[in-house]
Amino acid sequence: MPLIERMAKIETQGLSKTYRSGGETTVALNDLTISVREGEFLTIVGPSGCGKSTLLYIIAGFLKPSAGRVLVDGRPVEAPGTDRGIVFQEYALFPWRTVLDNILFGLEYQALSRPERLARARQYIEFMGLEGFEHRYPKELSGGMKQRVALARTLCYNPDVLLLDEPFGALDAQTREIMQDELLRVWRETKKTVLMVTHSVSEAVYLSDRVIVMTSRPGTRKAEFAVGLDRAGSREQIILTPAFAELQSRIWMQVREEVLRSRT
Amino acid sequence: MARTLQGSVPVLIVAGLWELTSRLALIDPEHLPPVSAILRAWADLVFSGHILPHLAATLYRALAGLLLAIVFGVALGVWMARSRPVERFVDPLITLTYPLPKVAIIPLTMLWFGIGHLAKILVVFIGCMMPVIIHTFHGARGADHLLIWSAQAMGAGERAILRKVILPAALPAVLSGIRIALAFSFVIVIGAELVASRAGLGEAKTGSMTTCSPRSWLS
Ligand SMILES: Nc1ncnc2c1ncn2[C@@H]1O[C@H](COP(=O)(O)OP(=O)(O)O)[C@@H](O)[C@H]1O
Ligand SMILES: [Mg+2]
Repeated sequence: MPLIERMAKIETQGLSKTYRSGGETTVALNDLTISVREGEFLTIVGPSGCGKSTLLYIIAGFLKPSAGRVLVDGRPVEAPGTDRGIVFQEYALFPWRTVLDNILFGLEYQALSRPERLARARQYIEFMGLEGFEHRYPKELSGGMKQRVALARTLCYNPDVLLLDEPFGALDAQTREIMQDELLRVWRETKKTVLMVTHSVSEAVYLSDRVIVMTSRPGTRKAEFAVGLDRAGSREQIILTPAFAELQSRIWMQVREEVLRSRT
Repeated sequence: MARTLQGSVPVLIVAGLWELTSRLALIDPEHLPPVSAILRAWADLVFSGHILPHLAATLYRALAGLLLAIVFGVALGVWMARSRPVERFVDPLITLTYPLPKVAIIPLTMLWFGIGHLAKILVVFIGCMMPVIIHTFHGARGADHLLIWSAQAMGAGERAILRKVILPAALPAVLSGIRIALAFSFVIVIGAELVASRAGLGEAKTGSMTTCSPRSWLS
């Protein structure tokens, strides 16, 4: 097997992060080591406040770790880069730009002519089912639509890695299911490496190849589960299998321990 | 339209009370002429063409100072918001000088630049730059850091972030700073012209004061 295939796409080594604000220090992450394979869909589950967003911000290059390091394609991360795309829980769309102009933002730094940019943006508008909304502003869109715009904006400059921070956290149950299936479709069609964080166990099991459970703050790795479900059928067929239910409850027990611990 | 009408009601009431006070001689009309007399004097001044050069000089000084203040104030405000060292340097200076009456520096600028346009433009510039800096700074500092991070992740450099994220995010604050500066600019320039000038509305006032005619001074 050639070396490149065995190399991890993303690797964190002994990652720790301590926030200092005013006189207070918060240890958000403590000695976290994980690796994500090329093309893998890995989900990290943990109670809220355990450092999931912090982890993604460090991998994206927005924050510097207090200790440890992040490797992407074997190279240490120093700064944000277009090889890693991120979708924030809060969408972070530019409120003064229309849907089309939000999606064009990421293309302004690619070596493309103006017509090429427009063509690419339109392609992703269609891909995410946003036709007819090109000239709307973010505040005129529902949560699900904003999520689609955020995904389209990140996908269209074609990063190798997708970092997803609780992407469906703010959506109602129906929209959430639709968007989960959209994400699965995107992942299958684009073959990107996906690292998602969430606090929803069923979402993690439904979407991922592998699930890592984090402890409550300071977050570190607690348990790991390979999912390996047969994904041939529809959503209902997958969710209703005994294998799905069993895995979900095994993971949930691990998460529950941490949720209870973080409350005491 | 309805709002303009509504807004003019208090003005009309004050004008009416003023007119009565003067007409009933509650205050000697020589010291407080009736509004109608002032308006008539205003009209005379404007139609005689006497006031126009003064008005032009005042407008020029106010707007030139304001324009400079906007350019430098926005730049400095944004720079402060993006750089802690700059903030730590500029912030105490502004806190210290903002409450001072701007006319206090007029004698200084007159010493440096005489009593012409330049001294007044400089005072307007200094006075107007403060609200522009402060508002821009707060607007730029308030820019959502997730938007800045988004832009960085998409490949934007510092200059693109300033132009495409920080400035648009700060725009409403910048505009309210400019609105305040606009009011300041006329207050300051007329104040400066009252102190010393060869032309301008403030000078026209001082001129009429020395000839002791409240009627034209108020107009
Ligand atoms: N900028 C910051 N300053 C201080 N503390 C922070 C900051 N950001 C996050 N934290 C704290 O670090 C911990 C982890 O936060 P976060 O990574 O957002 O967790 P999660 O995404 O898992 O909910 C929380 O306790 C949070 O309050
Ligand atoms: Mg979070």
